Amino acid sequence: MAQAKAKDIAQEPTATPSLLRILTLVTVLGVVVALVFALVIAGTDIEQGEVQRIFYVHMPAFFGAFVAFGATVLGGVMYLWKRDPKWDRLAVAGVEVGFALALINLITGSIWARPIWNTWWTWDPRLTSEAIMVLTYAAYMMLRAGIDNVDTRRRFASVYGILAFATVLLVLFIIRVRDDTIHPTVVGNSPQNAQGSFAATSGVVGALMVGLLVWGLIVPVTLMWYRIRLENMLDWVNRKKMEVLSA
Amino acid sequence: MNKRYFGWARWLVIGSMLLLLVLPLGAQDDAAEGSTDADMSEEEEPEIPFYSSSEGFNVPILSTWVDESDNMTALFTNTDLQARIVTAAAGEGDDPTAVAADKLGITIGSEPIFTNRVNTADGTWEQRYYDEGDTHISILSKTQEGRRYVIAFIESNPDVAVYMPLIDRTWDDESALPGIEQSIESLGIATADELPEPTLGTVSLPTGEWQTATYDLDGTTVTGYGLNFGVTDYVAIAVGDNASVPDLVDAYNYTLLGGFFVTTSNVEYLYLGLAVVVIIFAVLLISMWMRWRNARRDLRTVEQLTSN
Repeated sequence: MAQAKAKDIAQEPTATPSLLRILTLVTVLGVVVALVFALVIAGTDIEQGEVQRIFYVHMPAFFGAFVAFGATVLGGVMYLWKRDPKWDRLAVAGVEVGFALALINLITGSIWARPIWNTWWTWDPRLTSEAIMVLTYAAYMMLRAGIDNVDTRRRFASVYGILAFATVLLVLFIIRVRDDTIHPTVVGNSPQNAQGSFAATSGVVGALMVGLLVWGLIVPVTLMWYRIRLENMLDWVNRKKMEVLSA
Repeated sequence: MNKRYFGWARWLVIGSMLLLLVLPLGAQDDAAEGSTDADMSEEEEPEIPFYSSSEGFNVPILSTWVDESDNMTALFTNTDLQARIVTAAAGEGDDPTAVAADKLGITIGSEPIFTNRVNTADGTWEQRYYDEGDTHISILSKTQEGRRYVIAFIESNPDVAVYMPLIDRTWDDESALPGIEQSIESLGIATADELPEPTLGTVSLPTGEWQTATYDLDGTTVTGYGLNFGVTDYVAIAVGDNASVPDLVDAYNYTLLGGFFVTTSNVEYLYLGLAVVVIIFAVLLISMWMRWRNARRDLRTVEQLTSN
């Protein structure tokens, strides 16, 4: 009991660490470079037109969401094992950042589909599984906000965050289970029915690699770090409030 | 000891993240294993080099012709065949004959011997055919997204006159003969009643298996080539020596059938997508900043209460 209480103490908020400041700068510069690669350096796809450039944000955003949701799984597992709130902070940070990136992935995909597939939305297996994934993580945030007891909330969220990752895997592997998807893939051959594929030329690969590094790794890590600091701050304030109330 | 533990934990987190990145790539590769034979045959098709104009249209490059294109106009020349193929874009209201003449550097003074509109799978094309003595010109044009796109074929061989009309397919059987005979009549070479029984055949060209019909019109050889492509028959009519015609037919229809297309103008969707990205990140960052600010205020209030 004493051990659990000791672990429940948040760290006193500190000034932004130098490493985070540097990472923020790298992130901002990285986003600018990624946009230059996507909008200027990569050539225009002669079949799809300018809208194809959305792909350089669309696909890396999913990878970013994947990394963030992966962090949630890690945070959930570690919290259930160690019962240290810092892992719960990692988990919630992963969900919030991952949700934003997954939403970007979903909406930019829909915008790309309008001129290429002539529809904003179709109940394609991959699109449907992606929508399920986004809704699952939206439910995580709503359910987490609805549980008052801190310990219960953290345990529940940890289990939910681990199980919710199944929806991420579903999005990835649905093209193996269902061959009727029209969603193209870039790494490997597109499914037989894919509509809107394009060749992975050197320009495409270059912009994609930069995009993956920035949107898929640097952006989620930086945002999660800030979100972890925010969660720590909220825990610290709650602790101080409890101290005042109990005094 | 504790510090060392957290050091290992940090590397564990970083290592796990990197390992996680492998999974999505693996999932895509797995999809490739399940690909069908159709995918493989598609992959094995040779890549067609395209000329892309700054005007937004694209045509396949005729590798055996001399490429004299600039950044706006595609122009391929074959001196052996005494032929040129030009593709250009102009204003929607511009006269396609004037555009073609300007791009080819010639004067077209005569009236067209045949003109009409044809509905193809690729839109409605207006076609015009000119006989300028030894020079014979086929001009196709269509309007799309506020521009007029012109494809012109010009041949200056005194031994042969070649025209490349498109015909709406209004008959049911597989034969290309009705289209060939309709073209001969439309171009004013002979009426259907004047045409003798043709010698039929086929010729295999890279653009497809073309049916041929050769007529002897009072000692003049008229050769027709026909290829069905959905609702349209692509036809070539040669009056005179037909030795070079297959090459001309193939080159012209490679441009037309093989891939003339206009790059879609859809930049507004790109802007919409980028706006969505900005809005979502703005909402996330503003939300985090506001929660941080409110927490700081709460903390100051609590600290004031504590000090009081």
